[in-house]
Amino acid sequence: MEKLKVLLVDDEEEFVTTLAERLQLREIETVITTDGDDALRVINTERPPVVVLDVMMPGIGGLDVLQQIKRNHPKIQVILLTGRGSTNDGIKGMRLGAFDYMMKPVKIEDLIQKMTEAYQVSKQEKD
Amino acid sequence: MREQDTAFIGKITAAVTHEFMNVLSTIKETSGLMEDLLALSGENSFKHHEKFSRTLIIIREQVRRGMEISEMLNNFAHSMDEPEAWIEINELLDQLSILVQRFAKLKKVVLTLNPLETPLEIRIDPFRLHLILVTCLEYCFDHTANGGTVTMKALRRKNGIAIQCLMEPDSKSMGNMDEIPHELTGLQETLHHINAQLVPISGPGQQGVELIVHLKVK
Repeated sequence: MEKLKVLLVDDEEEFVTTLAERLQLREIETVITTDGDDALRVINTERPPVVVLDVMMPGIGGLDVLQQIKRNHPKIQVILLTGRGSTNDGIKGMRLGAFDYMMKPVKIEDLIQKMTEAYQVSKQEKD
Repeated sequence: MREQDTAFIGKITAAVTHEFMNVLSTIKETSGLMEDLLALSGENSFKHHEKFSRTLIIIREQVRRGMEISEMLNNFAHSMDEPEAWIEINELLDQLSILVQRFAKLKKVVLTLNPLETPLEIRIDPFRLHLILVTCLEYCFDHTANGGTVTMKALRRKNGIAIQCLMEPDSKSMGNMDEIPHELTGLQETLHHINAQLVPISGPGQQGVELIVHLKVK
């Protein structure tokens, strides 16, 4: 079976590194970046079908990164991670083309389920 | 307190709780990774396997608790953002009951919540509503016997809502409560700000105060 590849973007380095390790243990290929500019660069080289993107980041914010991804790579599916009580950011993100949004802290099983759904959509859009 | 001061406290508290949530998220993922590795290693792989598993469950539970408190504190901090906002009354009461849990615990009192049957959004100054309700609850905690229960109950009224803080009074406080206790009279200005009033409740075995808020309902 084809391995799912995900780009994880979060400015909390320890968090994103650990999350990546947990996903790798579950046979999911991960690439990590800790800021928005870097994420946009990595997308051009790695072409991940799914991006998990933190909304609140210093510098270029998650919603701006989302807009640029959807403009330049519309097939890439983006899952937003928002803080609790930041439902508005999630709704804004959906309007900008996010696949879905999830509130932190998220259960790893729920995140994998959402990533798998996003991956299916991404594959269909490629066909 | 001046609006600017309140907004400043809210801003700093919201920022710090956000950071605190990031710390807890990292602890959660790290302990999750340890659980994953432990599960992969098998039960007899090392001497303290079982103790590690139990310890990780404690970490998981304490992180969950920390996140819940931080989230409530973050929401409370955001209640200072604007002088008026739409809030859902059951959510607010739920949040408030978590925030005052420490006060209840110190007085050895149990706080229970009796929400509205259906959610209701109201436009109000959320910070002032918090202030009034916490003051009423503290009064009830102070006058309830050890091990007693204080109930926060929300009811719909014709032109608004009522939030009752009900207590099982201790022997010193037992008796008719015909007027608002002096500990709560300092709330008058705040009550006026949100177009609300406090009335005493007195019945057999139960006393308390009722906050009546005249509302603009969504």
